[in-house]
Amino acid sequence: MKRFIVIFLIFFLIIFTTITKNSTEKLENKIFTIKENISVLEDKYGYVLLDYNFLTTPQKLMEYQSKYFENDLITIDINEIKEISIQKDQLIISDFNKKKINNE
Amino acid sequence: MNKKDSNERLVLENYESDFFYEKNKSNLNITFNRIAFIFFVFLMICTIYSIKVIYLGSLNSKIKIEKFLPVKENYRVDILDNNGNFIAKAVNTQIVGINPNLIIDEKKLLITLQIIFPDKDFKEVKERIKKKKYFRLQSQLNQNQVKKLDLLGDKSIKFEDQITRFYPQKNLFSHIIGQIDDDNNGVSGIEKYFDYELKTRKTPLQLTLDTSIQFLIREELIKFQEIFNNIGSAAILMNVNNGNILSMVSLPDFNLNRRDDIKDKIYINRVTKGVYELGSVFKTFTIASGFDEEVIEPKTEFVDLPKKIWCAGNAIGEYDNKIPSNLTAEQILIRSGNIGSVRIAQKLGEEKFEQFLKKIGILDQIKFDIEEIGQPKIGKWGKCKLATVAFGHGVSTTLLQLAKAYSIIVNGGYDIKPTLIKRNLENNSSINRILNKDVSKKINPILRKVVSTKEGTASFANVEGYEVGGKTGTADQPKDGSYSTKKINTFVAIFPTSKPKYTLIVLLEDPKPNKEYVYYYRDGRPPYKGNWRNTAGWTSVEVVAKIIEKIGPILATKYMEVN
Repeated sequence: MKRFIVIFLIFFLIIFTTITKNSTEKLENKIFTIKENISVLEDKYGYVLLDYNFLTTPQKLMEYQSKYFENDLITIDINEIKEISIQKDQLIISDFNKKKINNE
Repeated sequence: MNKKDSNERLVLENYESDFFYEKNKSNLNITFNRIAFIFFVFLMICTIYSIKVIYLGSLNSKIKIEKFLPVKENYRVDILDNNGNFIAKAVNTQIVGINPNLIIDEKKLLITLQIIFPDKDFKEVKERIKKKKYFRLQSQLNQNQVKKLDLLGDKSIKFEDQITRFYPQKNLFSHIIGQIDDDNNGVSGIEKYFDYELKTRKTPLQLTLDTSIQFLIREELIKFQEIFNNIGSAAILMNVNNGNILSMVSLPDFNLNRRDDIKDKIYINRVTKGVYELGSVFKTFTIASGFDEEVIEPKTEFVDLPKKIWCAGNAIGEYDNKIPSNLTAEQILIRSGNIGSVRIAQKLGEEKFEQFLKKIGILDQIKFDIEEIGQPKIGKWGKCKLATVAFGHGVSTTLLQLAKAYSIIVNGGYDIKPTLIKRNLENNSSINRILNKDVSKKINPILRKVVSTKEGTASFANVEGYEVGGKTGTADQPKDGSYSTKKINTFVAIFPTSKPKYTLIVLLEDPKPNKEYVYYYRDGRPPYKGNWRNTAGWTSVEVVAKIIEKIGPILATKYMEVN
């Protein structure tokens, strides 16, 4: 009986290992394919980001400003910057600069 | 006789018996001791060797992990700015080479190549073909060129993979980033200093620089270069609490994408490599040193200060004879008094003053993230050297070190390490206090008064809402053992002075007065046309004011909360 159990156990383990390995290989293949796809997408994303960075360089933005938004884009005066905060369910708008200086 | 015989026999027997027994015993002992001794010696050698191996192993373990990461071929990570925008991007391209030994029809090949590369000098190509050695014809091929060359099907045409750096910001970071060669090796700037890291790390290298701020500062420097007709200019913006550099501009600069071989000295990095006598900006160090050593207080009075003193036959005078003879230490800095600064330095003595300058990193070469670093010069200390260094002459240093020193003086006396590399905030935060904690408390209000009072030399920089403080420096440049008329005009701005966050330094090399430029006073006085003095107060200060007006809102909204 003992021998039978041992043989059965060994046989079971062999089958189990084979099945596990087989399914792991499938998973590994899937992971590999996904990783490859990700790296291709990452490459594409990198180039798109490069295009975006190039088109939105400060130099380009200044060109667009002078062409299309000459009077719309101006330097902000720090005293005109407001800070919005929520205190006890109420919106409080305060001067950004005064608050900072008072906190010093 | 018998007895004697028997005795003799007995003795002989005993002797023989003892002799054999003892001989055997002795032999055994000798063998055992010898093995034990050899084993012991062997054990000792093994132990010493093991200890040495373990010691060396523990000593080099860190280096091994960091240093021997595999370098991938044709691989280089990107460089990003503080906001994740590309500063340098690696793009895979190809190089085409020609193997002259495999050319079948030279004329035909040259004609077709000339169509593909119309701008190429083919006389040179012909000569290289004659040498019968492989050579690279063109690097950074575009896809169209590769396709055309492929279609030729000529065996003599060989392709090599190559990494090409693309710099979308063109000139903006030229002195900082540097360049790489055709073999993916950094040749200057960060590309050189972090060459190994850029080839081995997995994630992009992120810098502390802000593209928008860098652009705005560069634009202002270019604008004022036309106004003051200076041969070069430089600016650095640094966080005083952690040494993070947000902007570093040196003009003239160059387009990194052109890959020109820059050898003209005019293109030197004026922030890190240029070593200058910076003049009165050193007076802040003299006063701060006095506070640190508790030799003076802001209200300490200096009476009967002469208008001129002599040292080794050379006169030391005031730049403005209207400066009163009785001044407090505070007034000496506000009015930029030379003689008063000399008196303070004399109170300190050579040793203490030198120690102070060393402590804040002015005198020794700085360790930084690029290799293009200048060596400060001071020469031999003496009574005259002490006097001249007190007001910033006879000592040369870099703008980077000046920024570091001012940051330490105003941030509460904490040591900082200027850096271009974005790290965790904790690693960069200052912990080591090297100056007396009262130094900043005493010096910051004085620096504010240099800008906010009429007596101060930098009133044009009093931009509303930023609490700007600072110190001007106008210095004639040394030439052939004397001084030339060429000036270096510097302004070091600190803001906000109630709790300093940033130091901004602008240096103009050899500016000239512009009589057409209109100055707008910030205290309500009517505008003034034309500058009557070629000093920092009329040049660099105006540039700093215009820069702060532009970058201030960005700093306030983008960085104030984070830092």
